[in-house]
Amino acid sequence: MIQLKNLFLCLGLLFCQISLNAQAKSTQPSISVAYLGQVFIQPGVKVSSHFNLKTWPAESEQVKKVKHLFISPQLGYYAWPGNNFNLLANVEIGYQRQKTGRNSFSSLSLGLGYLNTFQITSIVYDQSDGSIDRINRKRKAFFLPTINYEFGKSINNRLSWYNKYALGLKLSAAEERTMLIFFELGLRFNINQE
Amino acid sequence: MTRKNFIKNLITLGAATPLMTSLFTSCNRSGFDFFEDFEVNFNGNVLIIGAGAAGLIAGHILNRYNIDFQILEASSVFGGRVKKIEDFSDFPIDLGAEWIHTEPSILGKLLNDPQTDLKTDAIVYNPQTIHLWKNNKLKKRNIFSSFYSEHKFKNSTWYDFFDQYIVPGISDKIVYNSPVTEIDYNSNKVKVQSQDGEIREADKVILTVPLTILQNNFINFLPALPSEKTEALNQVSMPDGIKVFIEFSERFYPDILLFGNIIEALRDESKIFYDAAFQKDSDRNILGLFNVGDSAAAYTSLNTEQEIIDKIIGELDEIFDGKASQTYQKHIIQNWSKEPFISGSYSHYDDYDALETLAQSINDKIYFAGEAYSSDSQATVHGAGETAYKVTEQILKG
Repeated sequence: MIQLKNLFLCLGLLFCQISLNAQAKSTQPSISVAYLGQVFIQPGVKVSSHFNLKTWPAESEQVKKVKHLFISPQLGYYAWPGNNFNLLANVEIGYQRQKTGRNSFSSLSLGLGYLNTFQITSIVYDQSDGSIDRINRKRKAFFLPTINYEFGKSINNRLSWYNKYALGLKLSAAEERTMLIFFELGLRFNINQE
Repeated sequence: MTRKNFIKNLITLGAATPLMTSLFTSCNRSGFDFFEDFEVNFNGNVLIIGAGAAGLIAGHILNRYNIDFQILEASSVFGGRVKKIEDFSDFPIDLGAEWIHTEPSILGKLLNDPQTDLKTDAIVYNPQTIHLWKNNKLKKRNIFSSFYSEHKFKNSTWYDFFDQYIVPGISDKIVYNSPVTEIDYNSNKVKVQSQDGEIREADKVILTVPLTILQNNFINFLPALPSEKTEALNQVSMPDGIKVFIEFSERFYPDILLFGNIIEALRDESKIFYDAAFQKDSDRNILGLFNVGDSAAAYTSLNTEQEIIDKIIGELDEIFDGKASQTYQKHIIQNWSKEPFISGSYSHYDDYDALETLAQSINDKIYFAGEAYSSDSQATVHGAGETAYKVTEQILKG
């Protein structure tokens, strides 16, 4: 598990380095704001940036396509009210296909995240009025590799909506691995777009 | 709609969210509304039959309104299906009702005392390792930890709540070892006869005995119970129930071990092995078995405790490659099916019309309270307490 931890740390640093380079070089960066739901119903929010590392056109007989290799650093928050809240730092590297004629796009990506869970262990209730006297929490940290599928459509040159589904594995040396399912629905703003 | 029905409906709707009650019951910082005071139009006396959760809460309310009452308890202790053991481990263990199936502030609401110093430390019971034994294979189903959450006591028990905050005010009104054999409601006063032959008279009776006592005709009613009541009684079951706690020298088990279909197992909660020391700040490895329903009969029908524990250890050995017998230290068994004056677990309804029929009072003289009569929270301690509030209010309002 320690070897796995080191591998994830190296990968995380590598992703960060690529992100920083991409940020400096990318001509079409974008920023996204999305509703983030763990198993759909543990609500949260995610802010992402999106940088194309490489772009190449691919023209078929029917539709014009543009392909991108992209990197996307992200920060997320989601909560299970009364149970826990979670902070997520994540980087995704993926491949996107954009149908320029239909203004639609889809992508497949792999992510590596660092998840901090603040779990409520117990709650002390004052029974004279039912109010909460004290909440005891425990912080737990996990690596979170994910596989993600996203699709969306451009509304105009600057704005598009997207829907993303992600399967992740919560990994820690101290606990058994647990699968997480994320749902995302958001808006993406293209910066530097005329 | 009961909690179980609510869960059932969610699954039927394909929401796949079988135990998300806590999602909708977030940390409530604003507290609760107390049961409202009302004008009392009753100055008679009341006999409460049964010193379980409903009977004790009913006594607690009547005491507050200075009503003359007595509680007749068949056994030598109060609590009914609320029971604990103090010295088995380094934390008290509920041998009966254990989970708080709603917001833990319900205790304050049941106590209904703005001056109380009661503070309840409640565990957020969200097991992280959920394993399933199916087709002779042990499978990890930890993904369900994202759905399943309830509350439990941290350093106390349901029994402690009654022992410390309900019973002290009414202890002199409880008559132990007085199983009721006959209730005669022919005349204005209800005559209640106990096993020792003593007859007590009361203007009103609150009957809080388990359903099995009525189903097995342990109490003779004069006149007989109305036919719609007896028909409704036949539509309800109170199946077998058992709880077992085993200490091991090592921990080899998950937070929860379920059997069969995972959705059904989580919905029915009929047989689970669980880490009883979960979040208890304990160094001990205490595994609990909670089993109600038909599958519980496999244990409850055995003749001796040794046969029961041998069967359980054998099952655990099969699942965990012999680790149970290698690390076994001690156990305690609470066989609710063989508990005198209880004879089962808790009520199971297929037809909720039957519940409404059973909950109706007879001739405004005999009232029914207990978990079996709770339309919202059947099979729970707080459900039993809420029915006690309901019937005492009916009596006192006149």
